[in-house]
Amino acid sequence: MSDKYRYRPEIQQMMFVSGETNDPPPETTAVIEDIVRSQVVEMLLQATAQAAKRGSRSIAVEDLIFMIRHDRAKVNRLRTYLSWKDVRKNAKDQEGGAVEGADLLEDVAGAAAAAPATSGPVDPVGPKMKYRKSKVKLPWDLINMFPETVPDADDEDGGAGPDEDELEANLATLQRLKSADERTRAMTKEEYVHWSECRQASFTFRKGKRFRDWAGISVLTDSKPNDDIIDILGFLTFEIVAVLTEEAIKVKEAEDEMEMRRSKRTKTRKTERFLFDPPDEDQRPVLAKHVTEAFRNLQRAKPRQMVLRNFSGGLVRTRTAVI
Amino acid sequence: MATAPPAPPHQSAMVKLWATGDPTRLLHLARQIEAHHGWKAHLSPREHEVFANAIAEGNDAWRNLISAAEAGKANAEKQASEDNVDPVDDPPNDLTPAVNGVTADLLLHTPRPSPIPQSADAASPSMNNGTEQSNSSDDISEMKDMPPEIDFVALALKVRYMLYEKSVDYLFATSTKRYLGGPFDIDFTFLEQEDEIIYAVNGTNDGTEKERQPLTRMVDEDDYDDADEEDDEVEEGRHVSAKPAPLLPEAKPHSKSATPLEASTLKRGNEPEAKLAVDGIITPADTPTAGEVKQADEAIQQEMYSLYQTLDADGDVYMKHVKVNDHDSQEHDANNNSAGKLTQLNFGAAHLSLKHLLAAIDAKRQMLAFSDVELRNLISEVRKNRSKWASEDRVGQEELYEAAEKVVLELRAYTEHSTAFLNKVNKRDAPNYFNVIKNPMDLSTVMKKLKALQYRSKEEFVDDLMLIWNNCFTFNTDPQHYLRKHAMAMKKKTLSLIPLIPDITIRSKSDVEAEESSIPTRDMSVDIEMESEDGDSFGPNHRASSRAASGGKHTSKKAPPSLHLDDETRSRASQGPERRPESDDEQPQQQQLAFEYEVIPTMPEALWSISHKLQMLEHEQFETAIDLSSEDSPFLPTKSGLTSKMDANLTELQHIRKVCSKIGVIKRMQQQPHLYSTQLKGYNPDKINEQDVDIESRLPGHSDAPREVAEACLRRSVAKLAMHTGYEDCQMLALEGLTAVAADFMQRLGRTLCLYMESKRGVRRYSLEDMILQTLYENGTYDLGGLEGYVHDDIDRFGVKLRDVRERMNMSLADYLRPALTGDNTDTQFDDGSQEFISGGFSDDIGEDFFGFKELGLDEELGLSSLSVPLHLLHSRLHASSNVQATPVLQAKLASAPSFEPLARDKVDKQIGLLRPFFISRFEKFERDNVLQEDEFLPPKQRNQRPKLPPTGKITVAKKRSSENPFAGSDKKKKKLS
Repeated sequence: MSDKYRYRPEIQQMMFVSGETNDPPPETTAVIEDIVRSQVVEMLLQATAQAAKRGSRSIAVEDLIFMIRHDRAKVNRLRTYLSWKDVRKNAKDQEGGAVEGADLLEDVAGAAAAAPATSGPVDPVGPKMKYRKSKVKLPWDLINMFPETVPDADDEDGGAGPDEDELEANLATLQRLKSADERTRAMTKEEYVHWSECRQASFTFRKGKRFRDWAGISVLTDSKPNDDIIDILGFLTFEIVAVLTEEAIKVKEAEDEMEMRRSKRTKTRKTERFLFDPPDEDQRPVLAKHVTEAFRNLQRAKPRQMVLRNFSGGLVRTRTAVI
Repeated sequence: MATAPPAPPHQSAMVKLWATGDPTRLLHLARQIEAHHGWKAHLSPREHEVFANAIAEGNDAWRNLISAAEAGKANAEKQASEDNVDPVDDPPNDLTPAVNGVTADLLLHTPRPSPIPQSADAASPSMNNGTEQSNSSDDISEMKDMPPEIDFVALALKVRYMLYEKSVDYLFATSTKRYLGGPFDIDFTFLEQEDEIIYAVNGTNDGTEKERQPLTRMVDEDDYDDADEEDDEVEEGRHVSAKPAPLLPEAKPHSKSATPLEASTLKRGNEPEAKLAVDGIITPADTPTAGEVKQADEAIQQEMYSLYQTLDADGDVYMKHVKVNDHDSQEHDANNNSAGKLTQLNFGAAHLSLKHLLAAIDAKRQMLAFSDVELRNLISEVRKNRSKWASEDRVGQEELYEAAEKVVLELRAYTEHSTAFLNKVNKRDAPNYFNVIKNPMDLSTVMKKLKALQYRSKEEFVDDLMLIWNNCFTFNTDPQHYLRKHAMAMKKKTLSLIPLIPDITIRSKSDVEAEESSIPTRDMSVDIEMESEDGDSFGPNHRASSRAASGGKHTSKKAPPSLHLDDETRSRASQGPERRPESDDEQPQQQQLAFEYEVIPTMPEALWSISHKLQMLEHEQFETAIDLSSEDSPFLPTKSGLTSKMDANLTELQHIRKVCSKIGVIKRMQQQPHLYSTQLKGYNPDKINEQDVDIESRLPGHSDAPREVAEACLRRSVAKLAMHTGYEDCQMLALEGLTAVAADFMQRLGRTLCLYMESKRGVRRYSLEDMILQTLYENGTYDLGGLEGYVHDDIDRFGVKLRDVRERMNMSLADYLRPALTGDNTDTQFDDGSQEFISGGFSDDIGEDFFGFKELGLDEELGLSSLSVPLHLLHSRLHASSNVQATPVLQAKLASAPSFEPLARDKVDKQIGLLRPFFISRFEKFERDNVLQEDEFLPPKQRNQRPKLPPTGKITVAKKRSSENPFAGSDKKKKKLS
């Protein structure tokens, strides 16, 4: 068991950041880890197929992004993440690794909030503005619709388009930041340190080798994917865990509510509470069954996928959806 | 006695003629056609003999002939019944006695109890007397040898066909384009004249003229074009006198009119006035000349030729025709019939340019291994598609201008007389000329106008030509003036040439297309049936007019059957006599003719008669409906909602693409060493224009959306969406597929909604809103937010992005153009952000668009004051600028040094003493100048090249000084000093 599941602490941390307050049992993390791994495998397979369609044997960044293209907010977040990663890399090169310890996710949040990053180089504005331009260009962008390259917008007359994109990306992140803020507001210093440590949890950060072994990337792909791919996978795995956790919490809450209703119906008598009563049993951790239910919910075929099969009957086959 | 119908006389007379089937008038018509040699193309020689006999003999034989099909055999000799209208079946008989006994038969005929009303067109038949008679004797003798195996039924049908065909030409002459020359028009006047003029059947004369003209004669006639008409007449007379007809002493040849003796013989007891009428009518003034006859002949052929062109696209018919042609030509060769004369063939105005070739070919005809058909095809191929006048947009221009040009050239080439008219009258030559002549004209001006495409019709062209000669007559009033003679000759020549010009009025293509959709097509066939003799049987024989022909062109429901003049006949007309394939007697008559005229009516027959009135009605409604409600059609996209936004986006997209194409051109200019304007293709998309898919549906009686219309609408919308997504182009098939998917989706939506509505009675009741939301959900739209998001993201924001991109593209275009525009010291031009160049605020007064920049839309951007700047100059500038990418910005900031004042001879004294001798010696060396030239302005060879210092800083090889300019080095010093 311990041999198979190597990411328990990371998953725990991620779940903590995503809203799970209790320590989840190992079963839960194991289920989540399995799911994440299967998702990674699925993504890699699909991306490889996509690359093959392009006539390429190695996966490119675009292939991965292509799979989540419908989730625009996620794509935009990912792009921001990548561009900041680029910024950091260059800044590191320039300043001799002063930003070694910068946490990616924090940066994403910081960038999204259009505020200076919480941690980073001494003069964050300079290099950031300079490397801001190294944005991931997606082939299905409007810019690439024309035979001639469209020059990048200058800083001063930068169009409204990118801004809007960022705005969109921000919406989800802002939401997350807001909830994080609420949660951290009452924290003590130690708690906050723990929190911020948890926020840095990643499947891939400084654990590239482990991640590759764990996901069996060498088996799945012909060529060794580059760091960008691994980083993107790291980003996406965090997203998966976050989504799963949130969904699982919802499931658990719904279950608890049902339980409550039932218990209220059956034993209405035991409602008195005393000062020294043990705490409510409500604060149970997310269990494996919640996670699987959440996963099932997420995987359920949406009407959108079946629209063209409406009224025609037959079995609708669906692939594993990338969360 | 038939009376002449009221106006329109020609047409109604013709209708009547066919309605009654009056053989007499048909006979007359036949003679008319014979007069123009029209029969030869359609009948084999032997058939023609019989036919000629019949028309020569007159009514009875003629009636027998044309009614022969009913009996299965015709007998030319047999007596006809007294009834004019109903032909009587005749027992089969041999032909040969008929041929031999023509004259005897004629004499035996008793006078008719009631004189048949016979309209006369005296001019036409009589004018052929001269031309045709000459050969009659030979023909008759040939006839004797003829074996009597002619299929009379076929012959009769052919004759009828020909008659119908000619009538059709006549009937449609007013409504369609006419190529006929003047003389032919009078052919049908007999239809009106029949009341006034009672004419004699001058049968024998015509009877003798059945043979085609010999080769030489035709060739000769071509050359007669140059000669006067009088010459022609003389020529005719000579022919006639040279060849009397020995076998027919009664029909003694006479050039102009029948002698009283003959007339009485031939008329068979008609009123004596007839003779007088004939004599009276044929006055010398009225006598048509052989030249005119020939022109008319050519006109006919021309018409046929042109029709051949227009129907060429009928693939099936054409293939059939080709096969038949081959077959015919083989048979023709096998029968050893005399070869057709190429000169008789018709190449329209090309006759002028090809006449020598044709004559040469004809002369060596025997040595050629080609059949008529092949030769003809060859020649038509030679002259096909090579006209410089050809124009897509101007229908008829090619034919008209080609002919007109040839005429002008021919006139110019008529050097003995044309010299005075070649160029404009010089004021020096005739000082008061322009006082007298207000509209000067000359051949070169005509040519100029031709080249400038200023003529729109034959009439205008002819008017200009005539103006030249009339000007001459006006100015040179002295009857003895030599120029008058020239002008007269030229005028005659012109008149002889004019009929060669097709009478075309040039119209724009759109007009023609519009018209074509509204006039009935002539592509209809009519079977020639014997039943159509009596007028009652016309109804079922009506062709269906095409639906598009609803425009009420049919004046009456009983319009005469129109003949389908297919290419087969045309080729026959120009091939000369040929045998038709023998048709089987047992076959139904329909079949025999259908062999050639197997044309499927455009619509089933019944439709015409039933829906005709309806269509007429509809047509009117159509016009009004379209006038009234041109804007609100269910099949036009609504103006509200997303349409305008999407349209704006699409326009934006097109703009961006345009800019892109410009940038592409410039880039290629930079990269390729040589560039030709043909390589540059502009992007000029059509403006997005949505038309009503189905205008007709606005008509009151129409059902709402038929499936096709609905599909077309959806396809249009889908195409628009695809465009909006970024497709520039798309295959129709792909679009169809997309449309099908879209239609499917919409259907599912509808069915889902239907389900929800019908499930009302169930457990749960949905409100209308719920139903729609549920439907949307089931079909993939989870909430209204999705729709809203689509509008916001994919349309509004897309538009914003597009505008942004366009702005950026414009900027980059300006950047690309900048080097090309930077002159030596013109940096200041860009101080205003080079808006001037982007907007193209100048360079409007450009002369010619030498490199097609204007077409590309580059002219404005390039902003060249004149586009006559050779491309390579501009190109090299661009090229160089792309190579020297980064010119340091610093340079621009430095103030440029003041330019050196060139050292003049008189300023040498002001220089320092040390250099004075040197300067003086320089001046002595270049004695011619008073000013010493700077190095930079010397030609490259004389210039002293500055030694280049390698990166090491050491000069390895001593630079060889150019011997021509040994002091160049010190020149530098001078420069610095000054």
